[in-house]
Amino acid sequence: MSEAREPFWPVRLWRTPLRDLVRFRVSCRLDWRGLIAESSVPGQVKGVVTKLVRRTRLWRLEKASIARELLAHFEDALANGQSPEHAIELFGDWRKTAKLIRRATKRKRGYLWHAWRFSFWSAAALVGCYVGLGLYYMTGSPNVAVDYLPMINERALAVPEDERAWPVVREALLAMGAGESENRTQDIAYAELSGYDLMVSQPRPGDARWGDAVAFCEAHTGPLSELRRAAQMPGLGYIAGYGFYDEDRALVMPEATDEAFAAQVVGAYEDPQMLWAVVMPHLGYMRTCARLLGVEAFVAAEHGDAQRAYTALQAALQYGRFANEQNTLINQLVAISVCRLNLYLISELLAYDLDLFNEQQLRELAHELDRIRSYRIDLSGERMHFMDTIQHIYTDDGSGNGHLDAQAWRRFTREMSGQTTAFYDTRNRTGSEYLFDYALSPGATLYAADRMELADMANHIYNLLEQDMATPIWERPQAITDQAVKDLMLDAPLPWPRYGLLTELVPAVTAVRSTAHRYMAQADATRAAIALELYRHEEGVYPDTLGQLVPRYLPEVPIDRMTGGPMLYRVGEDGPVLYSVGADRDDDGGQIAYDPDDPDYRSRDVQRWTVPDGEAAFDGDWVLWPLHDEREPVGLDKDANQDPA
Amino acid sequence: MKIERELMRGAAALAVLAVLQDGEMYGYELVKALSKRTDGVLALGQSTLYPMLYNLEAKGLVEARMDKAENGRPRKYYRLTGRGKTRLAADKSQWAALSAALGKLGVKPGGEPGAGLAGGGA
Repeated sequence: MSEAREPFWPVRLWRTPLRDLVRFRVSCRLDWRGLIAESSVPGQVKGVVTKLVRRTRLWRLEKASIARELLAHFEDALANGQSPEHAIELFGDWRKTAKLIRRATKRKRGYLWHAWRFSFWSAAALVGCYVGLGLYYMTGSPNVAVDYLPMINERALAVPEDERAWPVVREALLAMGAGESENRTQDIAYAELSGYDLMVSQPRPGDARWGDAVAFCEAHTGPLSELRRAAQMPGLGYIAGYGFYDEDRALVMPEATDEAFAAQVVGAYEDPQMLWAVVMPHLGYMRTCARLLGVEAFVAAEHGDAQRAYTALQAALQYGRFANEQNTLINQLVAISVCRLNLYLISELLAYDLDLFNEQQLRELAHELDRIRSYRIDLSGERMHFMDTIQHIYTDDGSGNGHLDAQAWRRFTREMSGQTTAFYDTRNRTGSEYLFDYALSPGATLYAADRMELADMANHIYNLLEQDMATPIWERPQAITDQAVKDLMLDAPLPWPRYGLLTELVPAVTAVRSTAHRYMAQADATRAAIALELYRHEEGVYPDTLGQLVPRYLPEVPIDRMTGGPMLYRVGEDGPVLYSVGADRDDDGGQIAYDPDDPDYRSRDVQRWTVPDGEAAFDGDWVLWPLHDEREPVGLDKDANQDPA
Repeated sequence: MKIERELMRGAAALAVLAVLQDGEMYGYELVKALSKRTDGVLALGQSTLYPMLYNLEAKGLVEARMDKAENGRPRKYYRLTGRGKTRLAADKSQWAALSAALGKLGVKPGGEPGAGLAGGGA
């Protein structure tokens, strides 16, 4: 019988515990199979012991210890005269023993092992939950069930196609050189009016380049006439869409290549787009049209052509209405802006020549202003925008609920930051975006409110917004919505709040309220000023109080929107002055508030409804009539514009 | 006589601790001692002895060491720890109380199991 060959040294190292190796001992103590093989017990006993030890699935050193003890047990039994079969029979069920030994041996292990085991299984459970959560969030997808675009466009779509003003406006603007300037921006800068940016300033008599404006006006009587004709049509009829229209290309993207324009044209993307991707290039042109008509009105006034000036003014007023054909907040803000331009225009025209308009024209103007004064901010479009956003970035479980779709959320945030115009364009995801979509999204979406919760909260916030808009500012200077939104953010334990979408998208209501009420106060004052002129036409003098105008010239005395009391009125050397007490809430006799650090600047402080803590309101009033550009000289220098000849 | 499994569950560990109070023993010695000293009544299934010893060791009631037996072969000897002795004393008291209580019910050594309960004071 040949002696068993010693295993190769790497095998022996593998079978030696580390603690022996560090003592330079190659003990092979882990070799439990070798231990059994070398034992003197019969083969069937070795078989049972081998199967039992293997079944324990313990560490090798533990297995060796158990093998040693069991072999000793059987050796003793055999030495006591038992047969191998009898010893095995007396030993009992080896499978059950293996199970019990495994359990007991593991119990004997040290604290470190137990701590590690607990940590491992805890982590595994967490990972399992996270993966399960991930799988859940991979299920479902957004379902764009409602097409809000026709609702946004409802008023524009109601205008019969052959009575829409937009094509006339577009052609008139093109005929005046829109889109041809080398130095053009998004807005129009006409070659002949390159000294003006019609988006930010109104050319008026007294300007250094007023002569250019007059020349431009006289050279474009046809297109200006078309602008006036368009203003008499039932509506603008510009249908806002997810891109530009081919027929508008010469106006909105004149220098674009075919390829560039194709990417921006309506219908460039087959997938459903979010309302945020709607473009409304016509809005900027409404302001431009109003200013062009303002130039014409001034030119007509200079020539004493009251009817032409009045017609131009009426047309300019109509462009404010045209801007409001979609029910979004941005449309309304642009409409307000255009209407305010026209209020300034009225003020400056009357300052130029008090008797420019006859009584009939003044009455018509008063009627138009009564319509403007009854204007209220409409938030239905904002609600639609929000609900449309929800349906794009939340899944739909068919019962009104769903979870945030992480991919859609990422694309939404990317689009909102201006990185793409195609909401569903996911062809070129980066590695980090994949990581976000598949690894981080379950956690992120778990933290975000679910669809129903967010929709409920949005309805609550928009209800507050409507309350804020309907509440006079003197009753509630600080909008409650702003505080409610701040509370939503503060209540969240992480910087990215649970209602992140809502807090991002709710408009800054205090600013919107301030803009709307400031505009309405100016409209009130302009309406009252026209009533004063009508009174003067009949009586030869201005009344002592505004109450004298009611009811013949004015339905009611306008209110001071700072206090809720009557608007203040006095007659100065240059005519009537209508004013509010301003942010300091006291009557300074109609003196415009000045910033003491910048005396040339008529401070907008008077237009603030509240003064921040720690700041003092500038002394002075908020003068509502006559209206003047805060940075421009007050009034027109009639003589400076006379033809020297 | 074969003891019911439920009765043995609590008694087996106490029996092992009781046997070890006389001195340390290795596995097979324990099997033989239990069988001999209880006339085979508490002869543990050998397959359950070793897991039980490991459990007692995990609880710190017994400790093990390797040594050579009389026949010169290495064996794993088990002996009571201090905690094991305390536990043994406590368990003994409990079993004595239990035995006394059962005795009052007529369940006495030498009597027919259940006779006291069935026959009352007869």
